[in-house]
Amino acid sequence: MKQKLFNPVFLVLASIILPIASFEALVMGSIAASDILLALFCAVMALIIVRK
Amino acid sequence: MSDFLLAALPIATILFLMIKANWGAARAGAAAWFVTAIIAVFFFGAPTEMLIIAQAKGVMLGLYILYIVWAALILYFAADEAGAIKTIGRAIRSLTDDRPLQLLILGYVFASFLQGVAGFGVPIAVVAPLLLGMGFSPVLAVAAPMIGHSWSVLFGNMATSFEALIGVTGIPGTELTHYSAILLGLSGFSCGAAVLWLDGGFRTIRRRIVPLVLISGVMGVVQYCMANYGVWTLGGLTAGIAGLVTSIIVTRFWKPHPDDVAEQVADDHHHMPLLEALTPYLVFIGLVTLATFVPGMESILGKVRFTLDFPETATSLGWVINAESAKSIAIFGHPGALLLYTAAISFTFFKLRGHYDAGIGKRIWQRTLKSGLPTSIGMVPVIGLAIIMDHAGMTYALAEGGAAIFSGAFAVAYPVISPAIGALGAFMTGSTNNSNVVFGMFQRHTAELSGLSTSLILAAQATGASLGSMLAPSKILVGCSTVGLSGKEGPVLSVVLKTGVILTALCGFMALGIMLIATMNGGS
Repeated sequence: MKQKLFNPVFLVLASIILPIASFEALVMGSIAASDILLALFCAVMALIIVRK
Repeated sequence: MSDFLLAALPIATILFLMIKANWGAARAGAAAWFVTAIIAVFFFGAPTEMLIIAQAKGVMLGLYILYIVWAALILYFAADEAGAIKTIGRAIRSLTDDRPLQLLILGYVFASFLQGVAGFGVPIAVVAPLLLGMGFSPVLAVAAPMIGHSWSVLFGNMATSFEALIGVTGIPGTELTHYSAILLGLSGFSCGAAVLWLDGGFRTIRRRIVPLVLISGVMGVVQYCMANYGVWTLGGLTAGIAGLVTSIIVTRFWKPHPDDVAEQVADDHHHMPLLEALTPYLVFIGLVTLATFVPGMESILGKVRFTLDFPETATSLGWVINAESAKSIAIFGHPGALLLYTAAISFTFFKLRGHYDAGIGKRIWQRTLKSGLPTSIGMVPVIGLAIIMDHAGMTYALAEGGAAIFSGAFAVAYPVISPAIGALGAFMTGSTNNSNVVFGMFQRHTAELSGLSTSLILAAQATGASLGSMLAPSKILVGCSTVGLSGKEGPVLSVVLKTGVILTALCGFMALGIMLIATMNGGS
């Protein structure tokens, strides 16, 4: 699991897809979904900091 | 003043983590992203909605740059595996034995030429591995083209950033070209001198002052003429071509100093004619020319586009960002697509000529992944934090704080700070174009309020933004990925930061000198 979370391909794809998905949810009016997706993006940023 | 200090905190964070703590750009960028988001929300009144919009814009801009990065890496490794890079390096070594002059020609002249045809980090992605292959250190291999190409950004790549300045300020281009081309020409000389200085200090500059003056002089004059004849879209390209021709002529007559003769590198078994080795770059120039100048080609290639439309957003403090579309990515006409076509043509050509061993496709892909992934991880947080800063009004607060120091009795010294604001914008947004968009009107207003020449201040802004592109973290990531320095970008940032600050300050003093001369002559 840990290996998968720190996998560079996962980090790249997650950091690209999550903000776009969050924005699309915002445009569709689903505020809760967009906030959750933003929180997930923050988690990915935290993973990048922790990853050496 | 507190706004200024708070707005400076993300920059301080990223610089401290990269230079002092020796973190890679991705980790430092992600940490600074959190700092930016917290300050934007709690001190600048940015709502969550603004964070989401700014980050989505950051991803779109990141995709635009990453398309080029991945395509340039594939092209480079396809050429390298065939032995083309070694051949080009050998050819430049045979052009002159003078090692610093080799660095000047590749890191300054060739990089400026590439900025003229492509831009968006291509000069660094192409030149850095060439210099590394010639035996220059990885840090110098990245820093030299980053510094060397920067003066050419404003009028390079079809002068898109100059057009942005015209568009945002509403001042005709013909009123801006005179001072812009003068400041850029003088800064071009400084950039060339800085490239030589990196290799061996002032002694290296002194020994090569004649070639430096000749090459930078010709490039500066050609760019000035093109810009002032109204064809500024070709200013960077023609200056680059003139620089290459002058370099070839100069090397015919130049005898290297005995201390600076390049070491003879042992010959290897790959023997390839130079023209064959240059195929990828000739094909690339040909494709760019076709895509740019053949009527209808641009519209055909630009038919399929990927973009997003963003709504207006505002902070609780009243800082408004208008509705706009993201920088659209023409899937088949983007510079990255042209690089991919070039890679495919070059790969087929080298394969037919028997330059590849078995399993070449897998090897190129593995090398591309190894270099491209760390760069891609860093791109999203670095660009995202810059756009959040811009949208929350933090970048503007930084510029305003800097300009406030030069208000009132110190207004006469404003030309000194003007390029620094442009450079700051380029550093934060990763683009000369964006810096001109963000600060163009601000600089115009400040010039008008201070009673200074608007065209000179805007020229100083544009030149500073052009020079500041050497500090763009995204470009550092691109360069480091091609020389095996991914995750170790700190030393490169340290070198270009020091050089960039000195060159921007020099540009400011040149602008001040021009203003004083114009005032003494009774002009504005």
